[in-house]
Amino acid sequence: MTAPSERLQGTVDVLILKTLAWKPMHGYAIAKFLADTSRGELTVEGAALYQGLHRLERKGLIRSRWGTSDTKRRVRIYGLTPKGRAQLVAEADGWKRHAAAVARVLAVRDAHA
Amino acid sequence: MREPIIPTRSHEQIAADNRTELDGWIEERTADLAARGMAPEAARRRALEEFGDADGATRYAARQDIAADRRLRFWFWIEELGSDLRIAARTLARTPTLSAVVLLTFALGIGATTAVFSIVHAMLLRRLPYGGEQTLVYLPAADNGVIRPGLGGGRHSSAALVALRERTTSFSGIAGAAQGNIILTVGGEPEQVVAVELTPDGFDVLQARAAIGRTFGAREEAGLASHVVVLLDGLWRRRFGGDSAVVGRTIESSEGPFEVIGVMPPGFRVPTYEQAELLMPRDLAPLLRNTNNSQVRFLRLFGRMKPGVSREATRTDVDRAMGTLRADFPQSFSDIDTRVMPIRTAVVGDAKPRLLILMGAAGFVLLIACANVAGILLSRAIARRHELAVRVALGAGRGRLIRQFLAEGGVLAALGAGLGLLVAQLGIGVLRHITTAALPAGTAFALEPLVAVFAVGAAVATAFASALVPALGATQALGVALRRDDGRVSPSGANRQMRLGLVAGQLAVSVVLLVGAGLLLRTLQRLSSLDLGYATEQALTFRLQFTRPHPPAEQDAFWASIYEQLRAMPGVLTVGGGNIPTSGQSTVSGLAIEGRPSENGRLPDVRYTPASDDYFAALDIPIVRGRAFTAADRDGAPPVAVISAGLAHELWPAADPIGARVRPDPGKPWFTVVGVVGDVRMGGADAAQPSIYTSQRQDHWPGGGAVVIRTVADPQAVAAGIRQVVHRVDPTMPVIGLRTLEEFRRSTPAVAERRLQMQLLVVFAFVALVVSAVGVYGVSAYAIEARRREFGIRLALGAPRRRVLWLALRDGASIAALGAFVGVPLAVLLASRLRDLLYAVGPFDPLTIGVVLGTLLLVVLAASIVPARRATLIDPAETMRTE
Repeated sequence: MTAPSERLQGTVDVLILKTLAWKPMHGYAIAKFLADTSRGELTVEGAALYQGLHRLERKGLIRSRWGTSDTKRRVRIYGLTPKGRAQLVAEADGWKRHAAAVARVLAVRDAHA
Repeated sequence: MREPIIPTRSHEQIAADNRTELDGWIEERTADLAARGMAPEAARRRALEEFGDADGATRYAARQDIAADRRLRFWFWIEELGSDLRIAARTLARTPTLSAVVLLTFALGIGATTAVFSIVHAMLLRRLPYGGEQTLVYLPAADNGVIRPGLGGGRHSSAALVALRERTTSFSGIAGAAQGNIILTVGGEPEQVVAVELTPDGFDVLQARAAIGRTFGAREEAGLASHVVVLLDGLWRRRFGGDSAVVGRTIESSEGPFEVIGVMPPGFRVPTYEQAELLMPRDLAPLLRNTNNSQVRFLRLFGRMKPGVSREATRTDVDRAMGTLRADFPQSFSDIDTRVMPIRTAVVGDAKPRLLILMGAAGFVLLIACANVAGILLSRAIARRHELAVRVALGAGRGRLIRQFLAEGGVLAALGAGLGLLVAQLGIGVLRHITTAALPAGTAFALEPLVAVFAVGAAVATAFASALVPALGATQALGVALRRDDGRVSPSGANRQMRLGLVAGQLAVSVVLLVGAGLLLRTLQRLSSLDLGYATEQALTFRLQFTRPHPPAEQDAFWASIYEQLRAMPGVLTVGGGNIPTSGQSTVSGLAIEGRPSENGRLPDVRYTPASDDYFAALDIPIVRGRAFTAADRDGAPPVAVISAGLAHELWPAADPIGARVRPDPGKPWFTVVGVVGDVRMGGADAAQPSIYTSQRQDHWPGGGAVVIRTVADPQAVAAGIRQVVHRVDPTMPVIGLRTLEEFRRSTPAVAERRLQMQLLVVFAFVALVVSAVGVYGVSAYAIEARRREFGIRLALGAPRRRVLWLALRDGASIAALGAFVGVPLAVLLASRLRDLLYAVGPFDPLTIGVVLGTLLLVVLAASIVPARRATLIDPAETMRTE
């Protein structure tokens, strides 16, 4: 069993990877993208996201460079590395299966209720 | 295409970067919130609140970044190292001949040092096959303060053993050992085996256990079982096929049947009797009943010190005991001392200083190889200074450049170690072949793990040492190169001096080795032209050992028949019987003279051997006075003896010894002196030994004897038929040690050890000289290349080509002079430490030094003449144009 914080980290990591698969972005842009795509359902705390980005960079799954945001601010832009893309494919499959399994379990409990 | 390199960052920079990133993030969010109509202040507060624990997050991020950075640095380092190694390999491959020479010298240096180290390891470092090396001592006898050299040296009488056991308190046990020969007649050819008779407590004193069976026990100690033997591993494997069932079996020998009670583990050897293959118990009781037991000295003593007793205390104890012994028995022990010697010193003997000399010589070769490699790398570095300058301009630090050189060293080290091990393996094979006569028998040495580690260590150390010199030199010089942009490489300055110094150093070391080799060569020359008192050319010798007791009459018949049969062989001139002067088989004995009281009850020591009528003729020992033995000197006739001129002069300085009566052994009759013969030398260099000869037909020795055959022409032609002739007389008789007298003499330790030393030094000196020549060539070629323009101008101005040639040669000459200036005094200094190896040659031998300097000059000239000639062929017009 993974510890709750690790599972949470795993969730954040896979969300970051999925977001960056779309295009390279800076930290706040990722946060906004996540909030928008999940229609406000998924709000990841900035600090957790920030930590996740540095963690993924250490693991070599993403790589950063300095850039300029749409609002002309100096921001750190992150992009997927080939290794990160491969990781995403592996993780995403796992997550989909996991989510489907959870959904099935929930459906069974509904039937008994 | 390679991905752009992310520069590594300091911790401060990481913190600053993360702060900037965080600030940007908060500002973006604040701006978003403000755009939705929030007041700027509230928007910023809200943004911070939403973000959460900013401090914790930045701390976490910094940790992640630092870890990532560290890994990055590591990979950079590996990558740079890889590229350094690639560049190094490419640089070395660009000049294959030079690199091959460098590697070869490296491999020779490492290989030679390692091969010699393998012997050093085997003899000086390896554990001895006895328990508690620290408490085991050898107790040799010293006469008038000197331990006699050779096989007879250090021996005590059984009375001395008993006295030491009784009168000392430092030992838990003192064992005695005596050498004897025995012929094994079990299955196949009878074979002579070196046996050691050991007092039954010997194994306890040595703390050695049998691998199979047992060693001597209570029955042997009580003197109840004397016909038992313990086999050493070598004999057991060779003769009994390593069959453990041999324990308990009875084997036949010339001394009767023996029961095998045990087999010693491999590697076990009786100290100082390294050739022994068989151990028998020696019961001293019968000897101690003999009143004359203080005169016959045949035992080597080994003591086991009690725990906690120091060697110093033991020495005092033994000295005190010997003092009381001398006081009680002044006739027997007046000038005998007992030394206390660490067992390793006894086993290794005087091989240690010789080994250290060889080790030093091998180290010198390694040093020369180092200097050479350093020189070559240095000149390469100078040739590459523009490339290096460009790299510095592009941001490579000095450390990076030094590492580049070290990488070259590393590549050389790896290749050098590999090749060096190969050379060492070959060298060890060669050493095994040539050291057999010069090392204690059974000294096993091989490329063992520790030896291999030594080789690799030596390779790495030398490679890096020789890379570091040019690394520091070149990077220093770089400062100069960067400041001066005329693109000229000036041969003057620190670098040139460093190179000249390196080569001069090589030559100096070569001189030392050459002088050492030369002095030993001269010593050998003196030794081989030394008049031994007998002729070694065109003569054969071998021993015959009786495999069963022969009564006197049978002995006479046997020898007569042997001599007759051998004399009948084609090519045989004379046949004599008796011990060879160098054989070590002769007995040393105290000689009594009729009607003359002995001084202090001590009799003069003489070499004593029975001889046949033709012994002196066969060995070519001149008869000085009187006569040799004749057919009339037989049993029943008055016993006669022949003495050596030296002995005659010593005992009868003014009178005629002929007619005097002497007795070499108290159990023998008086012998009348009938002749005086020339002196013979025992070993190579030892002084002539006073000798007494008795007639083989009047003085019958049990066991057997040696035969000398003087041949008309090539002795080898005769050698082939000897075994057959002997077997015609007695088919069971083994022919032992058949060889020419010349071979015999060469194998005596005095000659063999010096020969080995000389051969190795010659090899080392040759390698050193070749390597130095490469160095000289390199320096000259480089210096002349650098002075091309100067020479061109000189030629253009009308300088004769001869003058240019001299200018070009001058460098080589000055290096040679410097090398000689340093090398000769150093060589003389070191040679004076070699003094005990030299014979009739002083450490400062003008001829040797002259020849060495001549050789040096020739080699230096040869090495610099090629580049110098190139200098005279420079076309002045061309040089001027290219400038």
